[in-house]
Amino acid sequence: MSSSLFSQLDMGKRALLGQQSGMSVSGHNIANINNENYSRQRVELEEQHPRRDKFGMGADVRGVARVADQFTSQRLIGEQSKGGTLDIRENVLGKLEHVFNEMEGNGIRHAMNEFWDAWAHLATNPEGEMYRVELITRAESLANRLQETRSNTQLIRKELNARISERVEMVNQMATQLARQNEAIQQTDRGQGEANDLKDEREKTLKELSKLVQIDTVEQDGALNVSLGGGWPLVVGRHPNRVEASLQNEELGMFRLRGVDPAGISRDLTDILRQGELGEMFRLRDGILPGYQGKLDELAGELSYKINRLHNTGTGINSAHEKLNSSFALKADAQVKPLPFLKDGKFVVQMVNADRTLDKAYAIQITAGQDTLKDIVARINQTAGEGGDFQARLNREGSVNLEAGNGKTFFISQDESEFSVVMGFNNFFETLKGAEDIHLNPRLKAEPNKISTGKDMVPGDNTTALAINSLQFSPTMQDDSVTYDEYYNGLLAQLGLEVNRSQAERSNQKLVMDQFQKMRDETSSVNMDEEVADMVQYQRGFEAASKFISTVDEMTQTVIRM
Amino acid sequence: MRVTDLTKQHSILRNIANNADKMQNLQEGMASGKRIHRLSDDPIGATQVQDYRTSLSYMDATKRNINSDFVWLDRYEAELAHMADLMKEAKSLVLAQANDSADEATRRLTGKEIQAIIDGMVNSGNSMNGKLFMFSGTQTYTRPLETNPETQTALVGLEPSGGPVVLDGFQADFRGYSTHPYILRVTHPGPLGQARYAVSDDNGETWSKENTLLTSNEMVNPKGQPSDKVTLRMTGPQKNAEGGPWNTRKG
Repeated sequence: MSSSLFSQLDMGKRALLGQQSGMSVSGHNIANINNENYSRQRVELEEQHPRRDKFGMGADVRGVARVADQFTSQRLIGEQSKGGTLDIRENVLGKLEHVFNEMEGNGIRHAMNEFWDAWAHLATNPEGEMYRVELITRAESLANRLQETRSNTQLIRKELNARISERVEMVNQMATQLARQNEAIQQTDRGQGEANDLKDEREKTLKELSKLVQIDTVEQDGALNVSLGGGWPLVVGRHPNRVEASLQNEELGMFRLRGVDPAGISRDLTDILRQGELGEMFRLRDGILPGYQGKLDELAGELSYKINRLHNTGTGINSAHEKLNSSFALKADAQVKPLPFLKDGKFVVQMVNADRTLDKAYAIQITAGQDTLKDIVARINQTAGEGGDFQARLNREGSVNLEAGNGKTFFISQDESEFSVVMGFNNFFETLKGAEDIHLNPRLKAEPNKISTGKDMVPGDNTTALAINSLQFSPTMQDDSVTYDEYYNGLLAQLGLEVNRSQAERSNQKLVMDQFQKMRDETSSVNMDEEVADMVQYQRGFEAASKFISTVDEMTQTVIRM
Repeated sequence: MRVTDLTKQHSILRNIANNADKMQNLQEGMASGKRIHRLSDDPIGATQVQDYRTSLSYMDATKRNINSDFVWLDRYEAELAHMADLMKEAKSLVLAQANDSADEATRRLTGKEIQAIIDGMVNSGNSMNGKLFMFSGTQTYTRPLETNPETQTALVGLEPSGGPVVLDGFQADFRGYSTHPYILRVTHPGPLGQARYAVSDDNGETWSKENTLLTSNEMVNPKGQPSDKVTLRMTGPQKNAEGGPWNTRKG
């Protein structure tokens, strides 16, 4: 038995519908031709098998398929993490490069050059007031430059910290979004609708999230479970977990990443983050930037230590002191412990008469690793206190006061023990932390004549100034193996190379990502020619189907007129 | 290969961006005339640039120092030339008196001229560059040659007749300014504290009363007035073999 005319009409209707839906999918594709996250769709037609006889029943629309290669998509999503890492690294290192801007010629190196030159000028003219003032200006600008550079790197760290908390919020938003998208996709799938566009959207969210943090995904019942490095679940089906920028850190004000799951159990995730912007931000903030800061601090510390050691035992013009207060103070518990950083040897206080001739000298023997501050103060008084010539006093806040009596003055003429450097008597630069707080001894700024240029109150003596000046080209850093300039050059070269490398890696990564994007586009992106050809095809199909229906209609009329 | 519109667009954009980036670098180089603008342009080259800058700055500082040293050297040269002139003048004055045509009056006059030259030498020795003494080594604030009469040395002469006094192991010198010669006569030889002397300031015409010879003796002229703060200092061993500093011997 052949199929009835009515069932042929039905077949014609289905053919019309099929061509029409092909047309509408083409329209959808063309509309999204410039949407980067869009995966092209295809109508899937299915032939209707004959039910009882041998004639086929035409075609039916089985569904609309999303043309995508899951593995390419996954690689593309995965590569985002590395891309994010390198974006942030290049951005931050670029900023750091700008902070250490030596090429313009007004950086630390320039300030150091001027500083050493000022010492050379002063060594040539130790009595010249203007050379002392010049040196003060140069020393201050060097200290400022070091401080400024240090604080600018700290600013970058703080900015990173602020961006971390912003990024953490973004991660949460995306987690929520993913959970919602999972839910929608599951519902649509079950309701036999097509979740194609939702899947595109989810892929977009995943790409964005992956740029922030490296993720692993597992698909389960149409939903994607997303976990961060180390297996901490961020999205489980329809439930997002929260990450927080937590302030529980050794360093004040610096965030750490903490994950909180629904059970309320929280876990520190900072160290398990791998690639991605967030992880790189932590690495830059806690590893790379502090590394440079540490180098700056070491430079400033060694600079002031080596200069102070020479400066403390020198004299300037009429520079003997009536009274000298230590720059540094010790807390009460440290006063009774052995004073650190001392060396074995003597520390000589030279008394000066009112007519500026040298009087007696008192040598105080110091044993390193044994003498406490209290011991030393007591020993000074015992050795030099006789006859009221000299007195040392431990103040309440832990600083030490040295004072000459009997109308005399004093200076420290020799110091093997480095007691004067450790406590800061007549230091040139004062610093506790390095570049962060290095500054010129304010006493020297007020009285430029107190800058040590010679020894033993001889006004035209320039031995101290020369010795300090010669530090410029002497190995002074890293166990006296490299000069300050070499050390700083090392820092600059390292930074330059690191920026260089990150740029190269980033452009490399861009190529890789472009390649994957190309592969993805090859499969999933829309081609106008194809769509136009499809449209012609569907149009022709539609025309033929309508012709089929009208022919069947005529046949029906013929039958009716019979 | 399936080429889509997005693929074409991406590859065009990528190439344009690459070219723009290279162009930007080239233009920056053209505008500034520099090859290295940032550390990352050439990290090693950038540090070399730093070293060259340090060398330049060091050389500038050295040049500045040498220039200021030239000022000093010029001053030293001028003062030393002046001193040499004074020495030559003194030498010719002395030579002119080393023959019999010179008499006591011309020699005395010459003595005064020599004194003026000594004053000139002292002045030159105390010359200053700015606030600093040039000839006092590193003690730049200390006058190297004192013009204090107490320490000014001037040999004023010994008694011409009556036998010269031999100072056995002793050195006797007069210190102080003198406007005319002093003559000392030992009247009683003996150890310090016992020997006695008299002084004349008018070439031996009148003599002062006798005084005991001590290590330091202020000269008092015959009129009983201190003579221009001239002192006679005796330096040497306290005692000789005979138990005293003084021996007389006929010449």
